[in-house]
Amino acid sequence: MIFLDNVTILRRSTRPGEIATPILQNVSTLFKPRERIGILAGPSSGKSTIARMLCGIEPPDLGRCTAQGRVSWPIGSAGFLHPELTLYQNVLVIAKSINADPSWMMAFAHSVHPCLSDPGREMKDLSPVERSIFAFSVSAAVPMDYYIADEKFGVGDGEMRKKTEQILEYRLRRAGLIYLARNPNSLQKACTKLMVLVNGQLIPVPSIDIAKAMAEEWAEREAGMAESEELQPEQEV
Amino acid sequence: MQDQDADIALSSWFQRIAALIRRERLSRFSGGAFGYLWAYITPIFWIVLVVFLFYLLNRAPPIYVPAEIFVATGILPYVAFRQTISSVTRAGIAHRYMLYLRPVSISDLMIATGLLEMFNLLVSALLIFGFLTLWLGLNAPHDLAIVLWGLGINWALGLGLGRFVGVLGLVNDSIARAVPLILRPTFWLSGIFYTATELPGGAQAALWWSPTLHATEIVREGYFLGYTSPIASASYPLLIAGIFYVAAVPLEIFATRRRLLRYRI
Repeated sequence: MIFLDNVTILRRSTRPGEIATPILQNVSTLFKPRERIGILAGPSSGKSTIARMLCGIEPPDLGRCTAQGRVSWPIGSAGFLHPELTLYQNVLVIAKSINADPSWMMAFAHSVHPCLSDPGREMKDLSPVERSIFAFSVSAAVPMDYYIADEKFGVGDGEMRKKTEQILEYRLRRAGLIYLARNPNSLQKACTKLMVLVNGQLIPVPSIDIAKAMAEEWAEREAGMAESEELQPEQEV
Repeated sequence: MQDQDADIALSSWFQRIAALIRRERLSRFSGGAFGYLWAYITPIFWIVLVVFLFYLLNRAPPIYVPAEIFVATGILPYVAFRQTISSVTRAGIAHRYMLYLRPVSISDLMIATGLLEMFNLLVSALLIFGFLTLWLGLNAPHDLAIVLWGLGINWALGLGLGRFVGVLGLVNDSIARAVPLILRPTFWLSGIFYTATELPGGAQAALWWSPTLHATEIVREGYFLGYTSPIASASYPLLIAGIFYVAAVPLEIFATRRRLLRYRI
């Protein structure tokens, strides 16, 4: 279970004097155990920031985000996989940090793809696809109560994508999912409940078509607002 | 039941710190020809260089001991401080993606790096003092425990200051860049080239405020039989280390809660 209690997350501008804009504003919602929630959000709307908050990596600016049970890190995150370390060394560090079994994690990765069978291979020697498969394997190896997906549900192409999606489906038999994406079709496929992120609010919607329509309308409104700001004459000082 | 939970939490913490130490050890000097040996080459090189300068400038140590040992008892405490502060400051940035793995925290990253530095320091001390006494036949430490105590004080100072400065550096880029510049004078204030006893009264009073000088002098008191220093208080540098270490805790909580960390993770 993940509970957002009056949560506000601000996007801080790097330019001095510019006002911070809300990614989420006073949002309260409860994600129940084993729910599969898809959140449709446009590009640069703050999906990764929300995902990090849900995972407990970063706190919200205001309010509280509390979780019961184990929440994954964003599926497929690869930042903590050190390029100079071998697959096994990486797995060992991760497993010991989160109290998991490194041998099981390594065996799991091997079962996902044979390219991950050599534990002595250095991360930097993997191709980008192999790297993403390994990162996915490490994420999916550990049973969690809630999985957070930030644009990535499966990895690789064709058969590999199918396989990774199946693995995650298997994990989701006993866990919940919050999937943040801009692609409505992938959300429809993976989730049973839908929400759309507009105007700093997470609005539940009954169907993907309504979610799409709302997201498009909001994007047009935002684009219109940006245009009118550009057209405003410069104020005299 | 509560005791059992506390035991489990503690053992998980130790396991986590051990994992982070392993990551730091494996990654810090990875890719180079000498690998982790660099951690020991650096202090040895410093000592060789300064001893060479002593001989080149025909400078005699202020106390009646061979230059090699005098320099080693000055450089090693300084390295203990400087290496620890630099590594701990760097740890939060270098391993920031480990924060994805809850419950890893910024303080875990810094403590792990600090502990690795302590290990490196002990190995360096063993190598250097071992070489000087067994190979060159120079004097062995008069009281090894006091020598290690002095080194430990500077290590603690590096950890305390490093943690504070490391958190500030995560918030502000200018602070992170200014730290090496601010630390530069500590090389001259640590008593590498001189002892507190030979300093004139005014300089002695002024340098009393240099916490690293206290640690260096404690090392020398432990190493050289009969040497006593007017500036060898353990409580002053330890107080500074403690103040900064404790002050870093609310600072870290504040910076994390307010999402002030400049590096996006």
